[in-house]
Amino acid sequence: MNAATRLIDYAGEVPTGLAAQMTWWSPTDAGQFGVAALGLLLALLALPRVAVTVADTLRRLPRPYRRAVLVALGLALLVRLLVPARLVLLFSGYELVERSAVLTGVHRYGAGAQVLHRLLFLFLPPDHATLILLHRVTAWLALWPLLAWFARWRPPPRALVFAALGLALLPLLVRDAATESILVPGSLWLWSGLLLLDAPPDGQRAGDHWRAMVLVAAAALTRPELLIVAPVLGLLVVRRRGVRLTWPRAGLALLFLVLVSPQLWHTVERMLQDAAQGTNRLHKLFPLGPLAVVGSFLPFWPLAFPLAWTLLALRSLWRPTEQGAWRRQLAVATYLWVFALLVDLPQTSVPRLEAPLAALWLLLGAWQLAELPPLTQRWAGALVVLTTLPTLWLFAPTNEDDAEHFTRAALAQLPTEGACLVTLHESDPPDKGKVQRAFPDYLLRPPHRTAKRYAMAQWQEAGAPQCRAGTFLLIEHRCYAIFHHPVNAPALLPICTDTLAQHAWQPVLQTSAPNHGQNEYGWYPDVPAFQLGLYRMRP
Amino acid sequence: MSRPSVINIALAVLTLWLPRHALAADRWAIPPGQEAVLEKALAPTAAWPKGWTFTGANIDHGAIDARYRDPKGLGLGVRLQHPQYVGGPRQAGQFEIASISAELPDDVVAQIKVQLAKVPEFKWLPLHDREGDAATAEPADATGTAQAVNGVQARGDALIAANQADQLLPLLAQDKTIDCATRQHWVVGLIATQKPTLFGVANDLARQAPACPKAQQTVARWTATLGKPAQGEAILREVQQAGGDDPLVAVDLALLMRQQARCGDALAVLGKLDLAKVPGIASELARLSRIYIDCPDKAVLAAMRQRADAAQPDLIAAFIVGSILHHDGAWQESDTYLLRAEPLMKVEPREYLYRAMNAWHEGRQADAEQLVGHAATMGGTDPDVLYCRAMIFAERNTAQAIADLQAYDKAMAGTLDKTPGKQAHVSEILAELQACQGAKDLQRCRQLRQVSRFTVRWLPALVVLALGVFAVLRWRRRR
Repeated sequence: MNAATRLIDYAGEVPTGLAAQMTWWSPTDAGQFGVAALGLLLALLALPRVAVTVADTLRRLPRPYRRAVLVALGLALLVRLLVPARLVLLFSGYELVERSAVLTGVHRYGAGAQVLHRLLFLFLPPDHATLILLHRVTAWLALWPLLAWFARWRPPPRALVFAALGLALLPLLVRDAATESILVPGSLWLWSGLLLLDAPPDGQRAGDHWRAMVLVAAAALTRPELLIVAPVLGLLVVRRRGVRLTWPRAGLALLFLVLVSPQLWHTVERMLQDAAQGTNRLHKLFPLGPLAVVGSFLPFWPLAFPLAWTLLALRSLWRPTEQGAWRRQLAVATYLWVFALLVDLPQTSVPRLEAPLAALWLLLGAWQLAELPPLTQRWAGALVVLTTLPTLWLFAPTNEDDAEHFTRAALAQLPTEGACLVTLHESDPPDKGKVQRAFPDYLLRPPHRTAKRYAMAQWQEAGAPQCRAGTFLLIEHRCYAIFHHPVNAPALLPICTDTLAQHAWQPVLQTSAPNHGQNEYGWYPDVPAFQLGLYRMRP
Repeated sequence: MSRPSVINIALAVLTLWLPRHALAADRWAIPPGQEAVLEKALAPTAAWPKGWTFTGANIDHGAIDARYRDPKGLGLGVRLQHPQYVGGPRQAGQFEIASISAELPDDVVAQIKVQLAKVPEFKWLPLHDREGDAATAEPADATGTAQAVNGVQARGDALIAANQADQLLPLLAQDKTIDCATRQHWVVGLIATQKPTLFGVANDLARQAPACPKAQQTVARWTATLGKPAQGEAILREVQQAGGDDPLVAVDLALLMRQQARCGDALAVLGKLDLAKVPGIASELARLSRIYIDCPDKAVLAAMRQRADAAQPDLIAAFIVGSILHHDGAWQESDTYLLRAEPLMKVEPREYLYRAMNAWHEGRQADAEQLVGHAATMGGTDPDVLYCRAMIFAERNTAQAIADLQAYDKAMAGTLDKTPGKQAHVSEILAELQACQGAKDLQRCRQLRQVSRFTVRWLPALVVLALGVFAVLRWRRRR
C-alpha cells in the first residue's frame, strides 16, 4: 500500500439533520418523541399564564418584602450567570448532549429533555456550553414559580424573603444551575405545574388545571423518578385544595396518563433490563430501601446542604396545625422521591438528583425560620450562613473539570477541516467497566469543525491512517482511568502508552493537571498529576 | 552565469512540450510561464530527508510527472493532476496526487504535499472541447517550435505571466515572423488567465492582419463564457466572410445563436451543414445536441428519426434523437436510439451519461451505476458526469454524492452554460442530501424533509388560523 492510498478522507455519516434522524426512530421512539414534543409545546404555551400567576402572587406581598424578594431573585440571576459551568455527570454529559444533537433514539432517562435540547440545537450549535446556558436561565426561571407556590402555602411574608435569599445563594442550587443536569428544566415544569394546580378556588382561571396537567406531564417526561414524584406532589396539592373529582377532571387525569404512558413504558422496560443485567438495585429496593433513603437523603448531607436548613425544616414538621400536616406530607413526598431514586443512585449523583427536593426542604426551613422569635431568628440565620460555608466544597475542582477544560482547549487547536483525532474509545482495551469514555463528538462536527474521531485500537489496526489536515492524538484523564484502579497497574493505560510510543508525534498542547483525588468509582491512579497532551503525527 | 541545472533543462523541455501535450490531453492544460513555480514546489528543501534529488519533471496528458532519486540512487516518481474532485484525500493545494511510487517514503510524500499546498496560484486551463482546442492550440509545425526556441513565444508567455499582456500587440507589430500558431498559443494563454479585461488584447491578436482564423475562433468561443455571444457571432461571421469554410465555425456560430435564444437561426445553420463532415463529430455532438434539445422542433425531430430509423441508420441522427428523447423523459425509447449511436459515440462520456440516467429513471440501478462509472472513467471535465453520478449514487453513497454536487457547483460557477432551473434543482438536492446525510432510509428522509418544509412554510398561517378560531369561539361564548 502506498502512502497516497493510506491517506483517509473524512465523510461524516452522522445524521445531523432532524429528518435524517427521524429515519432511525423505531415506532416507540417516534411515539415518545412525538408525545414529548407535544408536551413541550403545550408547556411552553402554558408559561405565559405561569408568569401572570407569579406576578399576581408576588404583587400581593407587602411592598418591602416584595422588593426584597425581587432583589434576591436579581441576585440569583447574577450568580447563576457568573458561576463557572461544569459537567457533573462524570463525562456522561457528553453522551447526553450527543444523544440530543443526534436524535436517533430515546435516551435511557426518557425523551423530554432530549426534545428540549434538540429544539435548542435547532437554533444554536450543539455544545454542552450551549445546553448549560439554557439551564442557567431555566434554573433561574424555576425559582419564580417555586417561590410563588411557596407563597400559596401562606407562610409569613418574611419566610418568602428568607426562601428567596436561600434559593438564590444556596451553593448546591447555584452550582446545579450551571450543569448539564436535566432536572433543571424539569424543575421549571414541575414548580410551574404545581403553582397553577395550587390556585385558591377564587384565584383560578379556566384552563389552569389543563395547563397544570400539561406542565406536570412535561416534568414527568424529563426524568424517570419524576414520573412518580410529579403526580404524587400534584395529588397532594389537589387533596390540600379539596378539589372534587368531576368528569372533566377525571378526563384530565386520564390524559395525563396517556401523555406519560410512553415514558412509563420506556422506564419500566429499561429498569427491568438493567435489573436483569444487575446494573441497578431494583431487587434490593424493598428490603433495604426505607433505611437506605436516610444515607442518601441530601438534606442529611451537611457537606452539600446546610445543616441549619435541615434542622429548621425538621423543626417545622412538628406543628399540630393544618399547615404542619402539609409540611409533613411534603417531607414524606421527598422521602418517596429519594426512594424512587434508589433504584440507581450513585453517591456522586445525590447532589444533582436531589437538588429540587433540597429546594423544598429549604422552603420548609425558611418557613420555620420566619416563625422563630426575632432573637432566635438572628442566631438561626447566622447558623444558616455558618453551615452553608462547608457546602462550598461543592465547587472544589475535580479531575473531570480539568479533563473538560483540557479537551476543549485541545479541540480548539485542531484545523477547521479534514483532521483526524485519535482518542481513547469505549471499544479500546481494557474493558471500560464503569469508566465513562464518552467524547464530545458534536464538537468535531460543523459548525465547530469537521474532523473524524478514531478509537486508538481501531486506528492502529487500520494501519495508522493519516488525514489530509493532520492526525492528532489526545491523551486526557480517561487514559489514566480504570474502574477501581489497581494499585500496581501502570498509571497510563497500555493502549495510550503504545499509541504514543509507536508513532512519531509532535506535541501541540501539553499540560500537567493536578490530581484532585478519587471519585466514587476509583478511576484514577495515585499520582500527583496527570500529563495531558494533544499531539500531531509528524508528516 | 551559472550552468543550467538538470531541472531547468527538464522544465525547458516541458515548456516546449506543453502546448502539444497538455492541450491534447485530459481536458486540463497547464498554461506556460509557471515553470519556476513548479520547480519550487517539487524540488527538495532542507526539510527533506538527506540525499534526495529532483531529477526532472514532464507533462504527460495534462499531468505532471515529477522524478526523484533517493539516497540509494533509486528513481522514484510522483504524478500530479488537476484536483478535479476538490477536497479529495489526495488533494494537495491546487494539485491532486494521482499516483506515487510505492517505495516513496511517507515523509517525502508528506513534504511534497506540504510544498504543493503552499503554491500560491497555479493556473489550469479547462478545455471544454478537447478536439477543437487541441486542433486550434497546437503549434503543430516546426516553425512554432523554432520560434519558441528562439524565444519569441517564450517572451510573449512571460509578458502574459507578468500581467503585461498589452505588450503583446507591439511585439506582434515589431516581429513580422510571428506566425498564426504562436498567436493562437498566446490567445489560449490569455484565456487561461480568466481575466475578461484581456478579451480586447486576444481579439486584436487574432484579428491583426493577416487575420488568424483559428485564433479568432478560439476568441469567439471565449465570448460564450464571457456572456458576449453577439460579439462572438460577429467574429465568426468575419472568419466565414474571409473564406473560412470550416464546419466547426458553423457549429460554434449555431451555439452562439442558441445562447442568444435564436433557435430558428441556429437550426438553420445546422440544417445547411453536413454533420458527418464536421471534424471530431463525436465530441462535437455532445455540444451540438444541446441546440436540438433547447430548440424543440417537431419537423427536425421527425426528419432525424427518419434518418436514424433507416436501414442504414444515421448514427449522428440517432444520437441527437436519443438525446432529445432523454430530455423529454422517454427513457426507454431514448435508450434504443443511444444504443444505436454507440458505435460512433463510444468515446464520448455523454453517450453513457444519458443511458445511465435513462437506466436510473427506469429503476435499473445496477445498469445506471455501471454506465455512469464508465462515463466517469473516460475522463474529461464535463460537470454533468458529477451531476449524474451524484443522482445515481445519492442513496448508495451520500457523502460521495454531496462531494460530486459540490464539485459540480464549483465547476459551473462562472460559466454561462447553466440553466437557472437545473442550478436550483442541484442546490435543492445538495441541501437535501446534506440534511439527510447519515439517514437510515434516504427516501423516507426526503419525504420527511418535504413534509417538515411544508409545515414550516404553512405554520404561521396555521397559527393565525388557530388563533382566529379561538378568538371567534371565545367571542361567541361571551355573547
